[in-house]
Amino acid sequence: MTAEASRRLTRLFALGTPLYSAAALLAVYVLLVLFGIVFVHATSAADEIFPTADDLRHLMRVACGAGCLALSLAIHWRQYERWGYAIYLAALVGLAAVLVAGVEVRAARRWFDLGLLRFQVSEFAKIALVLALARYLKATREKESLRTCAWALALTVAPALLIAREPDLGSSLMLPPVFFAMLFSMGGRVRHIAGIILIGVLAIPVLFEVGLTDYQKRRLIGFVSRDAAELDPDSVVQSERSIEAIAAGGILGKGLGQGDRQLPIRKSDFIFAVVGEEAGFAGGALLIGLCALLFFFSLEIAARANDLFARLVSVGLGTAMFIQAFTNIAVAMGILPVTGVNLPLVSQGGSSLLTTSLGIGALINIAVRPTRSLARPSVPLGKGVPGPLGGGPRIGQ
Amino acid sequence: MRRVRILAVLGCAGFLCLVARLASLQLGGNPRLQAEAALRDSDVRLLPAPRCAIKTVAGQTLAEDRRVIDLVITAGALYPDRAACILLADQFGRAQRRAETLDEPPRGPPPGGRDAQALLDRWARETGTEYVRLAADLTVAQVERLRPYAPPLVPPRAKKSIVQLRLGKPFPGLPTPRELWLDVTALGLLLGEEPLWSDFLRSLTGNVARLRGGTRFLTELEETLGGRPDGAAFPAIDYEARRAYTAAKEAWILPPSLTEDEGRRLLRHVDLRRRYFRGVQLRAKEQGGLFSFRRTYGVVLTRERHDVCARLQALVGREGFGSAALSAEFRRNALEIITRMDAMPRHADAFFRRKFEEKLPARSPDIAWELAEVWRARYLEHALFAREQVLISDLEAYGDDAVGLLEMLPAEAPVAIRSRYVRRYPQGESVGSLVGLARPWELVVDPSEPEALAAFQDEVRELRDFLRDLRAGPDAAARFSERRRGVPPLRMSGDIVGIQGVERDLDTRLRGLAGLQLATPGERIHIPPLAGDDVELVIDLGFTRAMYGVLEDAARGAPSGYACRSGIVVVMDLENGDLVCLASYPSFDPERYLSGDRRYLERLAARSKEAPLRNHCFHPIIPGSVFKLVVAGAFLQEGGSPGTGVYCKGRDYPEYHCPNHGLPDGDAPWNLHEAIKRSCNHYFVELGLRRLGRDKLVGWMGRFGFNGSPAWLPPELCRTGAPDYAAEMRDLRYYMCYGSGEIRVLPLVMLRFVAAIACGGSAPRPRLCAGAPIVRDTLPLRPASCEVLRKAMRAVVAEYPGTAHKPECGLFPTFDAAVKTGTAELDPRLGTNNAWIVGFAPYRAPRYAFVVCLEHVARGGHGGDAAGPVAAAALKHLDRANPGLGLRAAPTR
Repeated sequence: MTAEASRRLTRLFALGTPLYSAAALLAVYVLLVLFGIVFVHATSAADEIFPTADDLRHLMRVACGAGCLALSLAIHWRQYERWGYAIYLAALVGLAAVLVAGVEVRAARRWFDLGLLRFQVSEFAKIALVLALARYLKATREKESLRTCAWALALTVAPALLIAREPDLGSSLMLPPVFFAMLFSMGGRVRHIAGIILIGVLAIPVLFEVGLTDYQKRRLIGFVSRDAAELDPDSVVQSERSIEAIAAGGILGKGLGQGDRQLPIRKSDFIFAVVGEEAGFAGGALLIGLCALLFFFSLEIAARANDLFARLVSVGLGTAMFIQAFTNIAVAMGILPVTGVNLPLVSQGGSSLLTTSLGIGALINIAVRPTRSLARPSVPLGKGVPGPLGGGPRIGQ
Repeated sequence: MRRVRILAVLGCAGFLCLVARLASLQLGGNPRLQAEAALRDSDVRLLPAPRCAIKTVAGQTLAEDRRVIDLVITAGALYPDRAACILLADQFGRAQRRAETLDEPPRGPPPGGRDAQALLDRWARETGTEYVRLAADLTVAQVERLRPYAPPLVPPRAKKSIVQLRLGKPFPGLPTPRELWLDVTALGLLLGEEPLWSDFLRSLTGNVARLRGGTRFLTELEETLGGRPDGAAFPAIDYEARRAYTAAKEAWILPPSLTEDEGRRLLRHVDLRRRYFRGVQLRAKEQGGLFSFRRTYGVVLTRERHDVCARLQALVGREGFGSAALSAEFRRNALEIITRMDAMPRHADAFFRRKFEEKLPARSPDIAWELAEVWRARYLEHALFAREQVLISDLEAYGDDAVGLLEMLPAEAPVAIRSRYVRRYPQGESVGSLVGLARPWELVVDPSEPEALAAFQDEVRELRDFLRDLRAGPDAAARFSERRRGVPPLRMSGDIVGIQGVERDLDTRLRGLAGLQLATPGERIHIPPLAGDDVELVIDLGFTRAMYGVLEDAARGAPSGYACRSGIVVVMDLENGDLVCLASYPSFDPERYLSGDRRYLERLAARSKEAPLRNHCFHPIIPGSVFKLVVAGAFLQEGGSPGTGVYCKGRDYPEYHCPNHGLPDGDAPWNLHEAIKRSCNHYFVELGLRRLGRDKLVGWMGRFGFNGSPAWLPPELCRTGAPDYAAEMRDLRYYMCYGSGEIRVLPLVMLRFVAAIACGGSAPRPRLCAGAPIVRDTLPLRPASCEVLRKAMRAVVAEYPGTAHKPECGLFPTFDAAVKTGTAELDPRLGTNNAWIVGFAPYRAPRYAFVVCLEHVARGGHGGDAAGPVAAAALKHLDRANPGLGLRAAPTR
């Protein structure tokens, strides 16, 4: 292949440009959503072709998610930066409010009842945290100092504690990795990060005794020790059945709708088990691959971003999605105890779908919109090649 | 940039781990997991097998299985409210139990704990009033509003009003809460005698209930207590609809207008055990179209399982159907089920204790408590809702009545029909201790044996593991059978296991093994039940029964005049070794024993000193003078001469005395013949101590088979072995030479020895089962020695002064028998003896050998006097059966 041809190809498909990343991200998003639609239908009504009420509801949510995605593209990502702290405060207030005024389902107060759907605040708090952290870390002068690290930690711990109070330990533990990733990618000292992790590990026994409810303690002990598995038989049984269902999948799976009908909480927490059973190794690996691609493309967007805020937001959102997907799949395969975290975009939860769509929208936003600042534009412009959106005002080039 | 790359690498690693795990699960070929999953989807059913029968060769049945069909029901299905009440109370008592077990300070009153317990008590009593707390923590304003409707602070149990205001338990720092209490009984009457509904209603309407005639109060109550968050009042309960339906299967008790959370909150109180509260369900109804779908909840009452008891009872008591016996049994069993249900929490307590102590050493008290609670909950659950209780047993016995009942059962009645096998022992007491007992091996939990649940869990786990590895195929049945018969055998419910007698000793042969039907998606394993083998015993049932009767008389002292405690009669056919008579007194009736007849069991227990459950033929007994035959045999084999003379002056020696056997003629010493005839102790003391010595005697005893349990005795013929004299007898004492003291012999070993004497050295082995081979053993007895002993034994009967020569014995002159008598002193104070008589008949051509032993005969009853008549009766019976045998002696001059 000659250099000229490769250059033409590159221009044609915009390979290597942020546009490509954005388009690829969008493609992955669409694929995952399709995955979700197909498998949610397979779990609810395997024998029917017509969509059930559940399917329609899911489609509604998908549509809402797409709408949110479009919405988040409408404004420049700079606005996120401007409103970052406000959104964060709103999230904190929402988290505090849900503890008091939220709807109580199965002894947990996590949701606001908004009529059409139920809104889980902790999902939204994830995005709020990412924005606030990104803004703070960009604005701070001493990037590597301990004080920066401490403040960022405080920003993280506040919503995490409120989420853990709900009680929703699984979701609250999604936040520290985001913090670490963002701090790390900003350039924070590794020893600070290591120190925090060490303190966290040492504090585990204390936190275990003081911070966990009886039910959570039982679940953890039941996971760790087979002998005490009878302490929390429900989650142990779920975990075991999930593993068995996946193992029964084989290479190509049993076929859509042919899976074991007895798996509990199939639609949200253990959707991966359904995929593994009905689509086999092919489907499972494909799903893992798509989630991985989601993460990698967001990192690529981060790498190409010229603005620190944009980079941090990309890293944060990507890590949030990665951690969520990883945890859910690990739970379904029995590597982690049952947490209640669902698979982004594939599982049936509405709030998760919405916030993930918002996140993807933000990522695409960052990818394609130029940096409207005195710095270099975000899209490297070749000679004569216009920017994707008509370019931005070339100020101070 | 570099850091972003590092993050990417970390993410990559994470995802690769996931893919690796996925591959290990799906591509690694994990048969164990697949088998587990397949097993869970499978339907396992046991196919019970009957136990084979024990018969005689003549075809009479000694033990056989009979199929019984029962009508069973679980306790929770028969009395669902009561069961739910028990579970609720148990659940409420949890906090209390925790405080008691872990010595914690009680954390305030348990929520509703007192109420539920009060409900239970009321249920048991069914009288009086009980108050249930309707609302707690009323504010002062609310109290003021309610005050006109309730007299303030009346003492409890006043029947003035069904609503009471009381002061609740004060918490420090807060004002004393006011509580509203509701009379359960009144509400129960309102709803049709279901007091449990009030507890349910309390949560159902958010502490609002409709009171008799107090509609306005109800509205105000709703308002003051605050209904739903949006201010609307709770919907009223449609009592009319609920009360009106009897024919309808289900009805909305609360129409579907509640949101999901309200519905869940309402049922949280019973949500824990909703599956047991089968009558109540939260039912969803979806409304709206694509854009405004809404799911609302209502509460539905289904009566499909309710009041089965009442309906069944109505059926049974109907005119023109059903007999009094059937309905009486039904009522009796139903009441018994209630009694058992009420006792279940106590048993659960005991079980909980045991589990707690078991878990405590390895875990903290908290965790141990939690684990024990989980087990306790499962125990109660199983006992109430899984264990089947018999409602009517043996439907076949009721004939057409039962058929009619079954046809008229309501279709939704949660009863089941189970067949089981019951062991019958038609021959009664005479062969009871020989045949023994067999009982079903139970896998179900018996509330009175809490350990059974742990054993049950272990068995189920082992069975599950085994089934998991079982694959369909031609060898599945073989592997299953092999495992079932293995050691220890994999037992299943449906196996009947022998616990005594021939049933126990030949258990592996008799026991059928339950089969298995395992249906998994895609494959089906059917393993038919394995039948055992029938066992045929060679005994003559009529003979044994007759001898048992004779022993019964002998025990009373008829006709000899000496009563005894127990006795045996063993008769062997010398041609083939068949034990034609094995009577052991006292014995027991296995059927009455298994039936659980309490009076019978008490009677047996009162006679435990006589050991009625034991077959005395197979236990070693002190032989007394019959042991002299052994000593004589040993002496003769050592080369001793039968003419060996020993002077015996008469009765008293320093340490022992000889029986009154007269003085010799002219001061001549006794020889062996005379010594045996007269049973001279001194002679044998001489032989044993001075001519033989300990080692030689013990050696010959071993060769004759008297040491320990000989190998040729099958287990069904030997329960306890004789002592091993070679190891245990240090030195030979004088009394051992005439069979007293520590000497014990097994009756069958003695029998074989006598048979050897009769047959000139080669004796058949005693055998009980028809399938056992006929074997002739050669004992180390020279024919000459045997001849000497035979003659001496004949002389015991035929010559004066033989110990069996007296007319009281009944042997002389009627029978042509040769015997040796024996009397073993047991208790010098009481003077009780064992009275033996061993021998063979006819003398000329021996055909039968016999052993008769009466234990603990009253003072004065010597061998010949007490046991002789029994032997004579045996010979009489034999003679009547075989007249041409020549058992009767030719008439003497």
